[in-house]
Amino acid sequence: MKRRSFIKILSLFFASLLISAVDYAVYLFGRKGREAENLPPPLFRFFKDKISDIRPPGAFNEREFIAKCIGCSVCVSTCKNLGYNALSLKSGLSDLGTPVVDDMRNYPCTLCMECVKVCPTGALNRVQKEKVKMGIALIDFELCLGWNGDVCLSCSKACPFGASIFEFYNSDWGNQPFINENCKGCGLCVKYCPVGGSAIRVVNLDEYEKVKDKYLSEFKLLLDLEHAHRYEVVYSNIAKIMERGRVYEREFQ
Amino acid sequence: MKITRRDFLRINAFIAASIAAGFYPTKKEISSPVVKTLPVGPCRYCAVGCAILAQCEVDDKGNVLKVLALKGDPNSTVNRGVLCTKGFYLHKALEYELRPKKPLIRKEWINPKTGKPDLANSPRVLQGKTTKDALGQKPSEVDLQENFVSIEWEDAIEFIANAVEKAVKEHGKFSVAYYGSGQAGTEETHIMNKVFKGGGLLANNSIEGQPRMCMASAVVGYLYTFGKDEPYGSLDDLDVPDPDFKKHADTFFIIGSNTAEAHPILFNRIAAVKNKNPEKVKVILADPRKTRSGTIADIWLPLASGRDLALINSIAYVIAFELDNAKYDIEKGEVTANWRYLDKKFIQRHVSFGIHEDVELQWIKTEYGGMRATTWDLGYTNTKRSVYPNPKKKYSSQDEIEKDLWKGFAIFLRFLEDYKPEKVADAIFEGESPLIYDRATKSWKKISGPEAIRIAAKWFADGYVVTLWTMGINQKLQGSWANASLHMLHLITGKVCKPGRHSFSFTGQPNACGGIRAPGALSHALPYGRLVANPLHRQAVENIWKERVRNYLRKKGFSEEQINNEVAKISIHPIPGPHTVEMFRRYAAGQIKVMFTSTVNPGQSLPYAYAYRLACAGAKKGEPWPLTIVLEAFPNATTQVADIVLPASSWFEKEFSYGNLERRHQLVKQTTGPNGSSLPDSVIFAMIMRRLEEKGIVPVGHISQFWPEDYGKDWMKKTLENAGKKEWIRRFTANIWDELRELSKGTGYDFSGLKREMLIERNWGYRIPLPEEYHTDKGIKERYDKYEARIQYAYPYDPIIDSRTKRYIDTLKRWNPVYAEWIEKNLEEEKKDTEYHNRENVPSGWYVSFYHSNVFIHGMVDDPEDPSKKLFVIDGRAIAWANPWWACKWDGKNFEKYRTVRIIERKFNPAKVAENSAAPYDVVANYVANVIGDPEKDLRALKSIALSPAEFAGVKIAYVKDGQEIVIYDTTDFKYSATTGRVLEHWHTGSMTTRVKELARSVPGAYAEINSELAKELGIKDGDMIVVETLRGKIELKAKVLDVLKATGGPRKDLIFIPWFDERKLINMIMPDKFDPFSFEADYKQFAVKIYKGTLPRKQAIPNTKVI
Repeated sequence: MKRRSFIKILSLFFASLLISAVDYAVYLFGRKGREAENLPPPLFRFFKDKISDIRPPGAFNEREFIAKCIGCSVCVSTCKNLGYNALSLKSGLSDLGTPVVDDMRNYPCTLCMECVKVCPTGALNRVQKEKVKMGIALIDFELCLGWNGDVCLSCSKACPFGASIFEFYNSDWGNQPFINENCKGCGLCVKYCPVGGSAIRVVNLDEYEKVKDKYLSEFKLLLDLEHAHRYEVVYSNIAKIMERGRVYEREFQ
Repeated sequence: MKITRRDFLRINAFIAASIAAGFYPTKKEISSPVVKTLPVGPCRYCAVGCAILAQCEVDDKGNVLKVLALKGDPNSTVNRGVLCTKGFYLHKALEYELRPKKPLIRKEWINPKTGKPDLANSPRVLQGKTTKDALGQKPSEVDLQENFVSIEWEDAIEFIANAVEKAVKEHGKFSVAYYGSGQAGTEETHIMNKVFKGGGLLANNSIEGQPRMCMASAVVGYLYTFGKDEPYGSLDDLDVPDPDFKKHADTFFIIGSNTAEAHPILFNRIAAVKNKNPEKVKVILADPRKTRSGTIADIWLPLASGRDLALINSIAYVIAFELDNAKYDIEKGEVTANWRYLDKKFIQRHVSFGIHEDVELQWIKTEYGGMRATTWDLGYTNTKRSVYPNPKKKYSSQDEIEKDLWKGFAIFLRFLEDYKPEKVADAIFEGESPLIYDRATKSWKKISGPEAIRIAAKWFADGYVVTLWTMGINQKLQGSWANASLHMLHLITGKVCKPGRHSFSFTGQPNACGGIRAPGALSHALPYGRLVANPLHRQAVENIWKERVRNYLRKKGFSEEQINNEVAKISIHPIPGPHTVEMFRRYAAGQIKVMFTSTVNPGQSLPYAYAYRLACAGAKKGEPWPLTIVLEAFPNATTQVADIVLPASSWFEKEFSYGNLERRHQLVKQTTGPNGSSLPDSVIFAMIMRRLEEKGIVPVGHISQFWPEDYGKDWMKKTLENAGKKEWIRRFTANIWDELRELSKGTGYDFSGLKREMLIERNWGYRIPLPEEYHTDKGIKERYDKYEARIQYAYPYDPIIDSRTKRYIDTLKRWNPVYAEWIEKNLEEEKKDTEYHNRENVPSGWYVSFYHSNVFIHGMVDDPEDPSKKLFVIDGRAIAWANPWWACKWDGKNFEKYRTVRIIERKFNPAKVAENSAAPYDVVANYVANVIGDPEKDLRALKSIALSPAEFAGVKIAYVKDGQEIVIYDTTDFKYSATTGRVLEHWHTGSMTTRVKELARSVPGAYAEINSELAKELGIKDGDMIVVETLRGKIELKAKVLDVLKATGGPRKDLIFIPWFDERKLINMIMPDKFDPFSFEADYKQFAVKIYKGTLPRKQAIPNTKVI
């Protein structure tokens, strides 16, 4: 390796450190409210708008799926013909032409289970919708109305499995929803959430394993907050919720 | 890799910047100077009345620049800082850009020469042309933009005043009517009530409001039982431990309500109670649908719509006979029991029994003519009834009274025997299996009907029960009796007037209690518990109004002669006006010429809305009638059929008070300015009425006395300039509030002690009664401060109980001394009954006295000291009614089911309205017809004498007269039932919430909820388009297939549910308009339908052209 390249790489490395530092500094600055509550950072700080790839129902192991999927796109056409438009083909560098559920906010999977019937290679297993495991829906407790002093039921009404997936921690504070691990990851709840840009995200199982502990501990912490304390947290979140509505206004008719 | 140093730096900078921008929008957001939190008051939507704070950007003077967010007020005991999604986004609804900003009138009213609206020379009158659309084919906001022109306020008021004058002078005073609202502020409604009850030439009692369609059955149920409307307990019963024994409810009986979606904040409180103790706390859900409310239920009783009375009576049977071993002897007047569940002492001291001795079912055919044509209404008789003991009877001894009481109880028990679970379970559940929740396996298990009734009865009998209900009970043909029977269940078990035990009718609208029910803004009522038909009541109200006009005119310098002239005009018409459905029928028939509406959407909400849209949308050549004047803040299904739309301010653009479902009055405080040139409804009404004062139609001073400033001749201009200001409206509404306090003084609603400043200061208001004595009597103040009137009719919670009790006992002593002594003895015993107090967890000195019971049932008697005077019959005892589900007659031994039905044929006679505004009909025929089949054996035959519902699915109701078959209705091919209702995200007709993008996203449009088994049978999959067809039309809807056992439940197999919030799917257009014969509230919960896959040429509901 030439010295120049070495220095380039090193400087890139330091630059990225610098960026991370700036990044962290600005983050700390903006995080004052939550810092004061000793809470973990908001979950979606680590996720961009489009997080992980969600495969169609019937796909279980990602490696196995990639191995079997031949990119024929019959599943995508089937989904489109039925009017659901949930599936589309990836255009990235890796696994080009394989199907994903792209825009859950507008076109979630409805678990009609027609795509699994037409897959020629068995990359999508023919299972009943009860056995589907596309991913898990995670709730952003900072944005969810139910966790911030409002009574909202829309996600639970959209879910085709309701009570077996949605647990409600009713207190006189509201009906804090919690989506447990029975969730199939279809994304219907993501669509019907009234908060701008949705307060729910579906992540695939690998991503879930990475954030599971942090997510569950944040959940427990918020659940056990004392009433007065809860009040302060909630009131600092309300402005963010309203802001989301403005930022995502283009998504409404 | 070749990158220059420059590029490298550029890239880094770019990355850093984008990271900063992408992750941290928070820094950019609020760059305004000051953000303040202001108290706003109660929410605009449901009757829970959550107190709201608004986070606003303000300028340096404190004026609000922008509302950023709304949050719940943590100080309110009602919502404790929480809101539902509707309330959270309320300010966004008000931001809707297409709200009317100026007075608007349809183009066809403009005289092309003058450019102003004209009652004679405009295309509308000259040619009978109109752009009003009864079919609702264009969105209301488009209709508003395309077919209306804006005019000045002065022109609008002049036009309206001229129209009213013309109608009154040419067609009599009964030609003008007002349909108001349980969502209008109390002060706003009062102006119209004052005019339509006592306003000279407009005093025709033709004032109604949509609480008639919502709560009237509850009102009549309370009147039957307690002699006075409104809940006696409060929301504290749900989950607030009482100050003395820390008790609240541990059993919830939810019947005819989807509390999770209709009163979400309260559902939450109940769910919290359940969650803290899931094994011990029991929740019973009795509803044709297993809704979201069922997620906390332990048992689901899937009764078919309208079978409530059979269920309630059956529960009473189980409690009395099976749990408590009751035995009775009617001859001897004796009842024995274990007295563990039936509360012997409570019955002895407080409960009388009401027995209907002859309940005959009647089908009434009325020919109206005009656009409504002919109607068939179901009625049943409620006279020939006895109350045991009877306060009007001159008993010779206390023993005789007691014997009568137990005799009544014995007859009551005989009545209940016909409701043994095995006898009625089929009629109640009709094929749908009750479910019980197994906590261990987290699954629902099927059980039989009788078993379910017994389990529910046991839980009811054992617990501190709050029974709560809304429209499933009220909006039915037997709504008033179902209400009374729910109270009966609580009365015989003594679960009344004690903390945590409450038969609680949940009100729907934010101000049905405070603005319509309490102040009597309906066609038969007068303020604060008074009735139009009662001369003593009329006199009391007239005197107050006369005195006020007198004082005002004296201050203005009128002569005594002039004053006497005006005061003489204040005279309340002694006969009630038409109820809501009747009012619109008369509008359709052409007898009513001018209709005002405010804060209500009858074009969407009336039953069989098609016929009444036709009425509002009518136009006739040569006449300016019908003239539909609508005060509205949003374009909606009613502006589609309105002639003139007056822009009203909405919610926190004005100041007004609301009274919520637990007798709590709260003040909405003006926070922003009005929208465009809109004005508060109170000001709009006041200006129109003041103009009519000038024309001599309304007595001078009657309404103009409320103005905060004395404006002289220029009053209209000055009012238009100033009424949008906070201080002006504050003083204006405060003046009206003072009159309301005066009217309430001495009644059971007494809030004479609730000064306006108190409401302004405390965002979460005060519960009433709150008498004047609160400020002068230390004892009353202490009691109020401790309990805040949480329970009415019980000491120590009720601040006025002592004075009211003394009053009626003193009166009773004058004309029935033996009876009065017995009443007094019972109360004195109770006050000292420590054993009872301890057992029931009530404080020492506790006693109950229903101090308005019961003028509605017993009426008045002559004053023995002065026969020209009358006295109210009040004995302080509540009445537990034996209300049958089917038509039957008491013969001393049995309640024999009727095998005949009475048919009454009559014609509406407009000429008779002046002489009898309540019943202006000519009876053409009155005869009896035989029922086909045996009601004792055959469910079909039983349905033909059942008193509810009016339109069963899959039956033919017909009778033979003179060899000819008269078909009343035939739903043989319409095998399924449909019901309407609400969803959490949308309020009522959605005119506000469908315009909020977030809420529209959650629930974009109407759909049909259909049971998964039925869907499978009909070949319908989730998301399919289906056609729902009724006898009156059809509609295309998207199917939402729900499984009763999964997710958040679903409807019975034979029932579909259609939400009614969607202006583009006016389901009410094609459902029937049958109503309860006593409350006149319509049945929205049961009509027969055909269901099949398919689509229709029109997306909007398509009514059949022929009106039936």
